[in-house]
Amino acid sequence: MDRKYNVIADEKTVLLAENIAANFDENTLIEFSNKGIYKRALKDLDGISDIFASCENDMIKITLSDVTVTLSADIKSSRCSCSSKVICRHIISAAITVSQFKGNTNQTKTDEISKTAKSDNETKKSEKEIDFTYLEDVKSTAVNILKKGIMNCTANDCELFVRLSLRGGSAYRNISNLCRSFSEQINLMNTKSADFSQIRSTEQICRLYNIADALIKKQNSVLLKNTVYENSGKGYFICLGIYPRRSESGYAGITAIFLEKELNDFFTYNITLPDFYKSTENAGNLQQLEKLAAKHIHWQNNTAVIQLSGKNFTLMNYKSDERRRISSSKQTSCLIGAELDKSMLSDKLYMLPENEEYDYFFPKNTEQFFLIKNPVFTEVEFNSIFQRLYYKLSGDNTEEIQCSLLFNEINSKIIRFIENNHNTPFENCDLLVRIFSGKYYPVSIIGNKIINICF
Amino acid sequence: MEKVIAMLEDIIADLGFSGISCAGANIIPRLKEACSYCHELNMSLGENICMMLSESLSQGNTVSAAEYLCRLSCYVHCLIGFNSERL
Repeated sequence: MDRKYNVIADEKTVLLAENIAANFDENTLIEFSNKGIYKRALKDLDGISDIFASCENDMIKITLSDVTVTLSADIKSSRCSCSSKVICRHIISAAITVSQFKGNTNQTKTDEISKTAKSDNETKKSEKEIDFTYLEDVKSTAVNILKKGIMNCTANDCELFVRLSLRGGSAYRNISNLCRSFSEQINLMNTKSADFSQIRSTEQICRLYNIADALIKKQNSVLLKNTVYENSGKGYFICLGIYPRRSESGYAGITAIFLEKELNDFFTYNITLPDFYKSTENAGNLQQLEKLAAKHIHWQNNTAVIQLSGKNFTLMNYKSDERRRISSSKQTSCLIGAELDKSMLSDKLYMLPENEEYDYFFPKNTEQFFLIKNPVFTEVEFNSIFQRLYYKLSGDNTEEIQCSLLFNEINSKIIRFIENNHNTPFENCDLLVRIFSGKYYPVSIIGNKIINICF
Repeated sequence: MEKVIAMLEDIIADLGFSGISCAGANIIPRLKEACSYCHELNMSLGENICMMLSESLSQGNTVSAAEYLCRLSCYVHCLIGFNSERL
């Protein structure tokens, strides 16, 4: 099989890899995972340029971009640094990498193995997958808009971008969402709304051009990859808060924040509805979102998200993705347990998470969470010109953080909560804070019970 | 650095809003000013993009100007890093 990646390893590792490579043929790997995971693992390897391998006792330590797999001759004893507790796709990727050493005894005895090969067939296949006509259309539409200027855009342009968004569908999700957001910006401009922003709309149209251009030049074909949920087995969670959200690209929903007790890390569970269809146009209002949280529709035993708030619960056979989002798979069952015991919250959860590195093509929309001990809202002031509530957030474990919230229906309850409780410390309570793209948003007050302040 | 970023953002917003075809006469001097600030701060990539954008505009090459405007937007985004209000 041709490789697109380089394996960098020393001689000892290569010898060990050759010895155990025979254990990892395709059928065995599929048997230990499944065909889907195997294919996904192969696809993942296409997106990696360098794989570092080193020897660790009788095991091979393989670094695949952001995860490290310790691969043993018996695949069941292999470990991965990701959250999965079963044989994940990273372990399969590592095994596939090692399996390439089968029969290479004479070729690979070098200090550094660095081979890059591209199969013509594979290239043709990826060419088929990318719809160049669509991308060229997106690019030329963006150029036309930049030429004539956003100020000259009309309702026809609005419709044009909605059509482009529909054409993109789920295969070009990021382009599709950007088209819808830009269409909304034109609409805001034409209705003389204060929410219209010249810089934001220009940045959106430039981003559209850049993404389409990068895909055409095949610099970023991984931009097309979809979320893959992997079986993560059994997990013990606590639900620490629920909040509503609504995006400019026409989606609304609620997110529940779960703490995985063994990993001591946050997971999220999202329920999202598009509100751009006639039948779901009211899906984004707060009342509907509250109803959505109370609907008994989740997982095998039809759990309601609101039931989980402040409770310990177990998810059997749950699936999660790289961004630690849990799927709504009907194969997952949920067992609700006792109320939250605050003493279970470890010190790590009170530490401010580190900022993630920025990448223009992959802006990490991953939310981060942390807790503030004995929180207090101070210097609360509503600016009626900008329609924004400005306030400072502080607590025992943090210095003052300047925050602001735009007044809209989704934020209306949280704004009222902050105004009613300013300068009053919440003694013996914690505040769950969501960090999204460098901004801080309060989610819930954790005391003896949990108060979801957004509802 | 903040001054250059603000200046480049203004140029991007003005060009995008009014359009490359009807860009005001003051846009080229503003780009040249941004160029010299970038030069002072050793921001060679920013300096190059501004220069190419200004040349494309003065030659009336709108397609190339659109491409450089998009590159400039990407460059400024990467300088700012995170900014949720804009994304």
